[in-house]
Amino acid sequence: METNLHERLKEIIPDNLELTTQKKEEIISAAHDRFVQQQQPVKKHVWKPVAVGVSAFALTILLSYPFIEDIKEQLIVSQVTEQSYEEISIPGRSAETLFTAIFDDATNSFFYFEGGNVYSYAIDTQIETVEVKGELPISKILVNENWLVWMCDDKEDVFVKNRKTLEVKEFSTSSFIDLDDDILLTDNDNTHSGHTIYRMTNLRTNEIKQYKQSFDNSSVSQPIYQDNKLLIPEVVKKDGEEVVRFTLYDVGTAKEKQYELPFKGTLDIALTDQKIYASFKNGKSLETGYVDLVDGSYHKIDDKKAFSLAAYNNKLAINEFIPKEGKSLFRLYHVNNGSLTSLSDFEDVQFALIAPRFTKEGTLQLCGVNEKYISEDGTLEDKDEAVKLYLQRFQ
Amino acid sequence: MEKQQRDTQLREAMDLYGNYLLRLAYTYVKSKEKAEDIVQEVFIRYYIQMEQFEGRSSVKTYLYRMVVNECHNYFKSWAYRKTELTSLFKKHDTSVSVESEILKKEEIDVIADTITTLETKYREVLWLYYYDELSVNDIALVLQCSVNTVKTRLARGRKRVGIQLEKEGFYNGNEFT
Repeated sequence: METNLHERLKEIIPDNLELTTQKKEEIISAAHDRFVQQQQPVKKHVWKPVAVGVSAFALTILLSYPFIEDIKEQLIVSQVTEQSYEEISIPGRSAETLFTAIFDDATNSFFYFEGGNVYSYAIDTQIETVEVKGELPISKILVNENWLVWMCDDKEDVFVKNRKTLEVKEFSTSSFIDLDDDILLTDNDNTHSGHTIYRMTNLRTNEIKQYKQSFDNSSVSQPIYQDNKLLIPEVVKKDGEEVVRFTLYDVGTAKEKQYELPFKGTLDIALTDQKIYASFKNGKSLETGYVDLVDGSYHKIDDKKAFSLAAYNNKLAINEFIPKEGKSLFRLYHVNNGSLTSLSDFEDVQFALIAPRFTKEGTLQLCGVNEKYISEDGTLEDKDEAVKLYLQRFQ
Repeated sequence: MEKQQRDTQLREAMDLYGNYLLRLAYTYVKSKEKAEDIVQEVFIRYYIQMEQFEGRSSVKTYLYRMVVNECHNYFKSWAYRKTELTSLFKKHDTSVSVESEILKKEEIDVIADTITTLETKYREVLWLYYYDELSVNDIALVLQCSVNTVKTRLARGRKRVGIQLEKEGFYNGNEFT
């Protein structure tokens, strides 16, 4: 049977997908050129340190003028009066790095990672600090007022740094999912029993609470842990039809409740204000709505088709496709009985690829790419203005 | 090492593993051009590091690991995110005739289609195990994770494929056990 599967897997591949003789020769030639290039000694340019010194001196003089400070502020961190949100550029950081940024209200800073290092960028001082220095590439971070959590590519250890004491501890898990106050949500599969075990570890007391679920069903979005509740979205088969099932487990009372909806999957979910917001898939169509956890009723939200969303109380931030303009835009709405009132348009976030996020304190965070810096071949110009972080605060 | 010897060693590696690596890269990036770029870059690095590499681990494992790492890096890149989002728009916002959809579906092998819908961590393990016929130990080296992680992902991937195949009426109870 395994040979059969080998043959069937071939079906995924286009027939002509082979490394041709011509391509092999091209590779040998390119490899040889690069090899020769690397063997050549690097020429030392005596003028370089001089030029750098002169530039640094000139820059120091320029920056000492107060009016330059004003210009710099406008360029780097601009609080535009006409709009209610802030735009933040972090000099020298690429789109790939800024996509990983997480805002922390407590320190008014962004945390992000690049290679094996985690950095923070304080908006008030515009100073970047190395928070974690490592060799192995980091794959994910989470941060809140008390903790910084990170994991390296394909490793099975998660590292937790207490941001007050700076103590770092490490424990074994194949992934981590969410961080809420002192609780870290992780999951592990037990293939013997066929269960996924969700662990909620109190990072202060090391107390662990568990929730076990069969992994027969397909998970459709990442689970959420929030305010002592665990929300697991899945697709299950019921009477021959696929349905989306939300399981809401109350960790305090150890009681669970399930909500089922006639959709084939979800793109994104959010839990807030006794509601589960989600963008549902049904074949080729999309629908955005929410489940009222009080009475279990489902409410479709206008005619929205969100590719990603975030919600906080009665505010809903969505990344939606605007057919007329042929692109996606971020919009922030106020939700009232399934109807939306626009709060912000985020017109400058022209090609935003990262899901919006609300912090625990209710600050909305976005990351967007300015379309005018995208070249025809899809590459992004290496300019600080090309990628920006956006914040909208409500306190 | 002389140029001729270096060229010969690279050519041998390309003859032995080139097609497999190209197909592996394709399962991640879904573009022939991008897959070729990744494989080319991996072979160039192999050419440059040939001496340091000798005796450290098998060429095959090393090349597979490099391709997987390059593909993982590509997933984190701006270019990939843009491509993904664009295809998402196309998927949900272009009108395709029912007839052409049915024709397209008939052309696709259901099993192949099912595997392509799996999350990367399960898809890559299934692919390396069943298509490239790597051992669990070699997959652990390629993916730089533990043997237990590979076993877990393999079991979970099989289970998911099994369930999805059952839905399509293709599942044979012993097929993936």
